[in-house]
Amino acid sequence: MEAAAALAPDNVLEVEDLETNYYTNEGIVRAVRKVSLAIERGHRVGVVGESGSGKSALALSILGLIEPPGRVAGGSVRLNGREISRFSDRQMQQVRGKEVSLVFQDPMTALDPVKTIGDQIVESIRRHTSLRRDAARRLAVDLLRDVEIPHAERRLGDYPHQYSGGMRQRVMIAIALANSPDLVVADEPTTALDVTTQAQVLDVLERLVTERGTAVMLITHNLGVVAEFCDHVFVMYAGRVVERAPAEKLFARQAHPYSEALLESVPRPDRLQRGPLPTIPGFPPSLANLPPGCPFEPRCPVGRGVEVCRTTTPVPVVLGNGDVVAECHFAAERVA
Amino acid sequence: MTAAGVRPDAEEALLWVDQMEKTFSLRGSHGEVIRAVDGVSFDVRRGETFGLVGESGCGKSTLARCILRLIKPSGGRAIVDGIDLVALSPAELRQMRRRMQIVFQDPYASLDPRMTVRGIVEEPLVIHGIGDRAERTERAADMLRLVGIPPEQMRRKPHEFSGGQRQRIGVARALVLHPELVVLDEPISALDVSIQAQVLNLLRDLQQRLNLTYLFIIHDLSVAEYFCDRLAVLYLGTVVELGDRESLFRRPLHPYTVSLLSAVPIPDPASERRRTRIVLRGEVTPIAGERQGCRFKPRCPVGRDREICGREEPPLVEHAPGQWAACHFPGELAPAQPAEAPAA
Repeated sequence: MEAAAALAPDNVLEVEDLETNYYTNEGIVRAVRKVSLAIERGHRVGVVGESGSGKSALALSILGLIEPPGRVAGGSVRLNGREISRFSDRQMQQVRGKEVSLVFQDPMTALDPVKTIGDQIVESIRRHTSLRRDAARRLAVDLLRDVEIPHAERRLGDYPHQYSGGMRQRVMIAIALANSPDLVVADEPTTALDVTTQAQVLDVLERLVTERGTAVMLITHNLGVVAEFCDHVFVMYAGRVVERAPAEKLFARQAHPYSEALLESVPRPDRLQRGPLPTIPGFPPSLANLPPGCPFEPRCPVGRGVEVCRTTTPVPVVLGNGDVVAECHFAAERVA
Repeated sequence: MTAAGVRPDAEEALLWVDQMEKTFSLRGSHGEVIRAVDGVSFDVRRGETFGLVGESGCGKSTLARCILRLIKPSGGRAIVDGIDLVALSPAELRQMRRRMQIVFQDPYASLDPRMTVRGIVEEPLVIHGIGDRAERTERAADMLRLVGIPPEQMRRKPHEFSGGQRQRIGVARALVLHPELVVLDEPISALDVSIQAQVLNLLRDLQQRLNLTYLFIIHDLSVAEYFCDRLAVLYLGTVVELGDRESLFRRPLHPYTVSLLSAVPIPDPASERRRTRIVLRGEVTPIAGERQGCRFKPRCPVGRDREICGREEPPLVEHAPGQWAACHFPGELAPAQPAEAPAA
């Protein structure tokens, strides 16, 4: 089933059996464990999970940005049908910013504090095009207008510290979309922002990717943001995508008990609640020393102590009309 | 006479904040000041949780620090159980400090990495000269047990604990003196979602057991709604709306409150609300010097082009019992969708 999905012609990204390890003093930390997934052109995929679930490592692995002591240990990453997982740094630089680009959580670390906003946008445009400086500059003004920076022309000469957090993040979006990439990977792009600023940033991002038909991989812990922005959701736990589904289906019914627990633990602004919030007991397992069986078993309200869950690693179960996949021994009966 | 935003019998409140002000001088300016806190008043009764919400820069953290006298307010009073903290001498203030504690946002930055957990939790007892060595250790152990940290782990240092556990240790340290008033300054914002729920449950459980009064600074409105009994919405240093959670979230009167609520993403793709979101343009920009009219006007979907909003600063007025709003057109901007009935 997965192999068939990966062969579909309109995928911008196809990842197969991707494995990323960190070689530490405490042993080998298996951050991404044989993950396979595909993102269709123009789709918006949310990747959710707790800290340490491997969501950022997955993104960095796709982009060729894993740094020692980490290493992509196996598998393949195809972008627009082209295998990029064994590209050199130089080759990846050609790909990043052009076919795929990145928006990080903290724009202050991604922007160069001693260069003007304008110079940074112009540079990133010229890295991948043959535009002359003045043409690139005009394009930069358009881009700033596009992300709703007031007085774009004048503010091109400002330095990053003269912009507010929300404006900086919109500039990052402008840079990321400067060369109309096919895929934008956004790692917690609104986490450091106020709710009103978050709404502005998501609004701009939504408009731009819709206009351009850009696919988005949005890594976030905010399930509300996923519900509002994404059409598909990947739930990660212990280095695996344990459930994937269209957003509407996932929020309506969770095939994996972990997805359910994650959703339940958030106070909902649309309903008044008073009693204690349901919590997920315990902690995610150490990725250096995974237990046998299902990695969620020790914390699982469904499978805790159940023989099959303790001893056998669950295989992906395909559900419904094939668009829901969950790695749980009880997935089929849970959604039956 | 009590100021707007304060209920009758303010003397009965555990905390009564009366027209609190904090101004900061701008460097190089000619006497121009930023009014970070600009005349804020409210009261918090025993056992209540009072929330302060608003965007960064609205003055909520500065206000909390003024109340605890961690910084000196420029004007107004902070009255705890009948005693005005602003008027106290340093020695008197020290005595009062036992009764009010704060839990900080970042459990990584607020615990001394060189101290053991025992040292961290015992420190307030040492500072206030409470008990002998054995008694202090016993009290620290009791408190750790209460927050769910096994006292056997007292010899460990903060780095050996997870973020959620560290925040529990921070809570234990704040509560070891048996304070009455606890300021929670974004206590869960640095934690993972699944851990946030654990810490919120712990805080509520402790509140009931120890009869604590909370002043909760929180930017996450979903959490604010879940956790607070009453709230004040701050904008540029003033209260624009104040009320109990039911009225504030069900029938918000100020366009800023309505916009804030509409910006909260709901974890339900089927929700109607996302289609009618109000996206506020611009950001909170502190204005120095004199200002005229309503401070929310430049961003206000209701009053942006209205003459009176640019001319007169709207006073905080009680429009419904216990619900105050500072707006010339309260209730004109309605929430996008009537909220559904409370979940059973």
